[in-house]
Amino acid sequence: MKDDYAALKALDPATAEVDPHSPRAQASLERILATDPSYGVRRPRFRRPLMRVVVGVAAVTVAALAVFVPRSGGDAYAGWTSAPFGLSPEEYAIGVADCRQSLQSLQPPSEGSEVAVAERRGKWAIVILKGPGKVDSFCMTNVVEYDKRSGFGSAAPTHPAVGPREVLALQMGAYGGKEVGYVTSAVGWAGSDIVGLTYTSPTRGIVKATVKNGFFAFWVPGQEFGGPDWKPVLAQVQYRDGTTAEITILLS
Amino acid sequence: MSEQPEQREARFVALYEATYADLVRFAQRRVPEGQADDTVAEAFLAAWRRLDDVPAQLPQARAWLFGIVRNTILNSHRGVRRQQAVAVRLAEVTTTWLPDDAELVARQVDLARAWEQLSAVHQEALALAVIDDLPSREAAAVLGITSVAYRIRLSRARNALRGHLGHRPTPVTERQPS
Repeated sequence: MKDDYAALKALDPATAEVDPHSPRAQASLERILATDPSYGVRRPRFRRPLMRVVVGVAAVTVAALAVFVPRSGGDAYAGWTSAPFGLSPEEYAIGVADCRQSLQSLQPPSEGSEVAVAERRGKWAIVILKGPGKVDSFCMTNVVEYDKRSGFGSAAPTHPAVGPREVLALQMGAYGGKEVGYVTSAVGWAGSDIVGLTYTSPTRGIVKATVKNGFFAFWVPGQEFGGPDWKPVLAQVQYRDGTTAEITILLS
Repeated sequence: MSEQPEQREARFVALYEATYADLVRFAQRRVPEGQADDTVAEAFLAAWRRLDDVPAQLPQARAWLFGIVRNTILNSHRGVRRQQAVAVRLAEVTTTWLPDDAELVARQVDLARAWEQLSAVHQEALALAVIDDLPSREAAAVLGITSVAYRIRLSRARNALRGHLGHRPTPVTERQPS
């Protein structure tokens, strides 16, 4: 067998030369060092006083909701874009890890979940985690300025039955505070016939949602819907057959 | 005495630079091409947050980090069905060879076929010893099991591989890894 093991070793698919000083490796190192190593593990990321910031302005279907408002004040959402962008591999890895870590303080936990959506607008990413079972959750985090990191997350206890042309929100509403500004977001499930969704913001114009893997997500800076004077939120959807329709986003 | 932030960062940078290459190679054997760097970045982020848990000695620290990478991969697979082991892939066997290499290539083709028939549990037990070059204690740490349990698993993996190769009897003098 010794010869077999030598032959086995010769079939090693790994690259012989890996340089820890390569630009990619060093960029990854810098991003990690820019994160706060102490949060999430030894102290809960979401603290009860911050929860008060959102109570009354957000509606969620969820078993749990937690919020951590930005530290960076009014320019926190500078660079926001009406259409979503993808994340770089490093941002994706950190955003997903950050999301999982953040949601550890919520019930039900996100352990064992898969990434269904990861989209970015400016400095901020929304990550939706699917499962396990019927538990879905999402969070929003700053993937660029780790020293100003913040975010929020929520988890839905059940994945509802969504009709093929139906949109149901796991969360919709505004978050934030006077000092740091507000974010309005809608995140949830999109039926199998829906391939596109846009929301027309009174201040930002047409906002294109991410629609992927049976989920949708979009957000805009500012306070646009939600709160005590709740009004229906309209959106334009595009179906798989190319037709479009105006629908109301319903809270599950 | 508590560690200053600068000291903590310096310790992490030293660990990163000492183990980065090994971790990327470890991941390359276990994830699709192009995903190893992201997997390692996620594992190092976890290590940065859990730096106090990292063993002081480099070999043990490396094994601990391998375990984090493995858990990262397992987490990425979880969803439909929870997995208990990470399959290990082999390089494709080249089919163009010089006459002198014919025997080696034939052996590699047999091995690749036999490898595909192994369970993920047996693949990773064998790979940790043969390809990752880890002694039993560190391989066991990667899997989160005792050294004794690992040696038993490795022995069964070797027997399984031998069975799938369907040839040579067990050499009496075969040496177990330390």
